[in-house]
Amino acid sequence: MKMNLDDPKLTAYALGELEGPEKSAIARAIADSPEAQRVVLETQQVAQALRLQYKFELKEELKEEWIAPRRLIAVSDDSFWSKAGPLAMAAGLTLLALIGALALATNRSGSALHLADSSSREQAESGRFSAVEGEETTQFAPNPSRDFGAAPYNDVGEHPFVSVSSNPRSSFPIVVTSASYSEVLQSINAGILPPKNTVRIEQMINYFNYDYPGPPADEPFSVNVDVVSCPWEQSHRLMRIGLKGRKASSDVHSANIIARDTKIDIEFNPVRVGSYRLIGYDRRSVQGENSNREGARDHGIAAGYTVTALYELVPVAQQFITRQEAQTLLSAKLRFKKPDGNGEVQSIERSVTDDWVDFAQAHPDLKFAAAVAEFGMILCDSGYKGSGTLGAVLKWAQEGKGADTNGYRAGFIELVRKAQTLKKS
Amino acid sequence: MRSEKTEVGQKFEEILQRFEIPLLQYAVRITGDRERARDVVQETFVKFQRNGALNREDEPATWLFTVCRNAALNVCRKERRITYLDDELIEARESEQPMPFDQLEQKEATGFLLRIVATLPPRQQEVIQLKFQNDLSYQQIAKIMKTTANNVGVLLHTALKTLRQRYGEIAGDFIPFKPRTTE
Repeated sequence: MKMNLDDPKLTAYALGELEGPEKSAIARAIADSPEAQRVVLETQQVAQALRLQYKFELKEELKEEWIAPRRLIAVSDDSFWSKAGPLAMAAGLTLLALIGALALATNRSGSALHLADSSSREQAESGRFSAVEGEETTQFAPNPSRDFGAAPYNDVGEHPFVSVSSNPRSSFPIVVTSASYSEVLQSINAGILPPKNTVRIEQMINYFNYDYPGPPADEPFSVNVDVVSCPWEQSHRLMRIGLKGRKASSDVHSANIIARDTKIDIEFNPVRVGSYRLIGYDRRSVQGENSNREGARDHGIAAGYTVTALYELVPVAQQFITRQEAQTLLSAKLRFKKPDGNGEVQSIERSVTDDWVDFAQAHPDLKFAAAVAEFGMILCDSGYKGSGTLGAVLKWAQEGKGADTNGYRAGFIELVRKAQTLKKS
Repeated sequence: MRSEKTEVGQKFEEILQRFEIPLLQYAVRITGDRERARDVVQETFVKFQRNGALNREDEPATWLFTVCRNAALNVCRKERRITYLDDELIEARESEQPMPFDQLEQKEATGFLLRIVATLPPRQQEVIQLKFQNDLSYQQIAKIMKTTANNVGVLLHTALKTLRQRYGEIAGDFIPFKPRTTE
């Protein structure tokens, strides 16, 4: 039987709607037609993607209900409804629990969500922090609004390596959500490798907790930097920078907002670093660049907030470095305003040296973050994924699993295994 | 007596949790208005309770979507709103040109398929939503939309063909296909 690709039965078969002899007949026809097989496979993929997107939309609707709570079902004068008061309350509670779980899954901390829309403002206003007039800081387009009605993903491309001699300064948005990781998780669990342009490496990295020491009592943030050999490109260095906000104290004033207009500024030493690349934070269209300017001063960074960014560095060959020259690899400067201050900009500065630590000796957290980054690069088929493979990702993640009290890292390892099977099939 | 009520309440709560927002989204698409959709869905659940549908129906989906659809179409008729029309007019609208795809933000990946769905003719949008959001069978969808299972199959096939093409163009990442032919 010649298979007509425009036969609705082909779709019905792909969706599991056919039964009995009809199903067998179509199945035989499909077996003889590679084109029909392709249609069935693609139909099933689209069907699965649709199911996922509807599910995601549903979750966002629940979130919206939460933001503007108004129970859909009003109590009527019907006897059932007059008894439905506690029921409605129970329903509300269930809804609340669902939202809680969702917030946990996508952010795991209310602060990230709470702060979401301040990042673009920080970026939009970042000019004010320009340390040296006329000197360029590599600027990154603001994160688009995290209003989920407007999808947060825009595929404009990865950051390339930037020459230190022409651009010694770099920055990245302090506020990162982790929505992309949940998307990747859902997709792979459903048996589909996620579309490349949904993979946001910085969001995936920041889905996980990393254990940074807290700041000294008089500072709102700790700035933590470590540098090791880059596991997917041995001649390069991998740098991790982690910021951790002060934990909430009993003092209500410091518990809520510890700082505002926060911006990180990294300056590389051209004697030591030839070029650098910020991993993730893909450049996005600058649509609505100024739309979030209003009220920028009202938002800040919440207590306990942490963010992690990775840079891949191309070091200057050692034979060109003399002992007399500065050992400093880079300096990281965090600028912020204290919420109760008079608008005065304060800063914390760290000088970082490279002790030529090998990746094998890296902190487990850094190994794990590197695994997540490489996984993201493989998923979006990055030109910078280097020699890494899913097998290597698995190894690094296992080495970096640590205590994993909440089981998230074990979940990641499981996810990489699933991706391996999907890649093979 | 009391425990029976509690059981009914619990069952109702489950149905509410499961269908409230899918019905709301369905009704919004028909009425084109969130407030009216809320009224329609409320009316649907009140009828559901009053008619004893809770006890009769093992699978309440067909009942709920049918009643919700009728109520939403009634609202449109009463208010002479043109957002969503009678079935005859819906059929006529199928020939209308869909929104040019260029107008969509093609690069937004999350929900991009749903954005393409929004450009399809109304009846195709409806079957896609009932099938993939609510996992209903051809038979159930046919009952809700007052048509035949065959017609549902044609609508779905046509809609999915468009979606397949767009998905391939944009995501460009169908899992590599290896044909399996019988020797």
